[in-house]
Amino acid sequence: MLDKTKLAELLQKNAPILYKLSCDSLLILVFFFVLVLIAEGLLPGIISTRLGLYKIVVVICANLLLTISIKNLFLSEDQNLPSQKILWISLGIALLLIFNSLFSLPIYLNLFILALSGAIIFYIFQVFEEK
Amino acid sequence: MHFDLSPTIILDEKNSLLYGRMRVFLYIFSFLLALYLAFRILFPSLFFEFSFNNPRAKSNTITNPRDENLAPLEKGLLNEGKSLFFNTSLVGTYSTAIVSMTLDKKYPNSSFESLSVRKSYNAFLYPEGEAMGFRDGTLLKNKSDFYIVSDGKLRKFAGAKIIDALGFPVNSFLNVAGDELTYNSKGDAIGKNSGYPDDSLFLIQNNFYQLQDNKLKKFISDFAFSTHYESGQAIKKNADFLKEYEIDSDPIGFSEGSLLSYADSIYVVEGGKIFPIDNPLTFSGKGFDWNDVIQASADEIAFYEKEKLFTIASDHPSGTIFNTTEDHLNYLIIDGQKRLLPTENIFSSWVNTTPVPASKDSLDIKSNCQMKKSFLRSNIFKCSLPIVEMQQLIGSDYVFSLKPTKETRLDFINVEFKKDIGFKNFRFTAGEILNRIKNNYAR
Repeated sequence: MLDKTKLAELLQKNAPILYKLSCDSLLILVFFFVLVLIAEGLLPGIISTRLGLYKIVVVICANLLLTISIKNLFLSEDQNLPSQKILWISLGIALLLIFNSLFSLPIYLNLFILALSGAIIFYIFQVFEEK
Repeated sequence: MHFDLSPTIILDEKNSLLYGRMRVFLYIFSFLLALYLAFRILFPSLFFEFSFNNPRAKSNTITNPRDENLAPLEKGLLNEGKSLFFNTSLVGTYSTAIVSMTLDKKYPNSSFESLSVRKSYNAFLYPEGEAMGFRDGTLLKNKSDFYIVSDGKLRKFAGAKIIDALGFPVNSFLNVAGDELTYNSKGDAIGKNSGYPDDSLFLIQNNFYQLQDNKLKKFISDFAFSTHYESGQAIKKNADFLKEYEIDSDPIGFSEGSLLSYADSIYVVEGGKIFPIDNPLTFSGKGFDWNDVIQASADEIAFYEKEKLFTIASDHPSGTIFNTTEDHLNYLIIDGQKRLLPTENIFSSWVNTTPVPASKDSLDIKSNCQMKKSFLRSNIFKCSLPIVEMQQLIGSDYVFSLKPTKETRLDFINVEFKKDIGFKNFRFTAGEILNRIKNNYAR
């Protein structure tokens, strides 16, 4: 059985790889969850009768926790900078989720609300950037 | 172009290679997992179960476990020589049914004869009774003889003058062959002083009535009357006629087996009650015809007591007529029996809704397997029934039967319906998915 120091050393050594993999798996899980939500919007019950959606949420939360833990415990400050790519991907996923939740509305109204939401998110981001 | 979600974290060459390989492995694993989920969706299994320790639980999806006398099993006890029957109801095509039974451990030496399954509608598998005669109230004519069917019996009018005197519309008498009259037992003749026989129909002040036990019973509406009889059969009378008989406080509603629509629901009529159909899949799965649905008014619906949901597991109501696809015979479901309507005229007197298609072959085609003890647990018996051959049979009910060789007690029954992975099943499921999407867009 590994003692605690050796385990900590092992994790420290492989933290960058683990962090990158956990980011990749988080992206895959969130993307998968969005596809599931869109499928459920089109055909209620198509996924949820076979796989509880709460299970996907639990796995995403666990992955997120893992990612944050690795980042805070093992990575230095300058390695903690969020990626611009993640920001754009997150924005895209957020807009897809908003689109899906407004699915029952007329398409032009849905797109308008989507554009409005995108603009609001962008301006909020601008405000935080300035600060 | 290198897709990296964390570009600030730079790896050395060795770690970069390791990360690259693990990333590929992650993506392949995710793809395979997604593929597995896609297979589960495109080739879904359906699971049914019943717990004899908790027979009233809502989780029991196997319906009506019973012995051959239709009696429910008391705590799952099955005596030697007694057969077990149980049903599962589902829509869709499946390839295999895997039946698993968990027995009480106090019966270690249990064994069974083979397990068999038939596919049909449960009501179509009811015991067959005698051939049916004409409906009560029907007016019949054979050569120069005139009859009315009253209380199930054929009553002959003593002469054409009696018919005129009583006011029966002569044109409403249905011309039938002599042998068709043999299906109703003979009753007393109707003479000059007999008065109106039971089941005579009247039209008084735009309301329809039927004479029963010397009382006039009113139909709740013209629509309700039309589900029983043609309007021309009713004798026209004025308001004074209402004084000649007592008016029954219990009116007559729609014919048994009628389909009524009100607000967003469709109801099946049976025994003075209405049962809301739970969803369109049940409606079409039971072989009902959308053209038979009658738009009912609030008053008409208020006449009935609303009962529990009519689901895919519910039996067809009394009044349902099945038509066999092989030889086009019609069978009426009435009082727990299936009775042949032997002639076209007899069928016409009973028909109210479009007959439900049924497969006569479903009475004979069975699939069998031998229940075997599970390798790991001696009180679990399993059996796999191939049901591909049954998929062309019409029906939503699978009726299983099993006979133990010794007395035994059952705790659980589980049934899994599986689809084989193949192009035909894929096409069927994909078609179902597309139809559901179209229906959602059309809302």
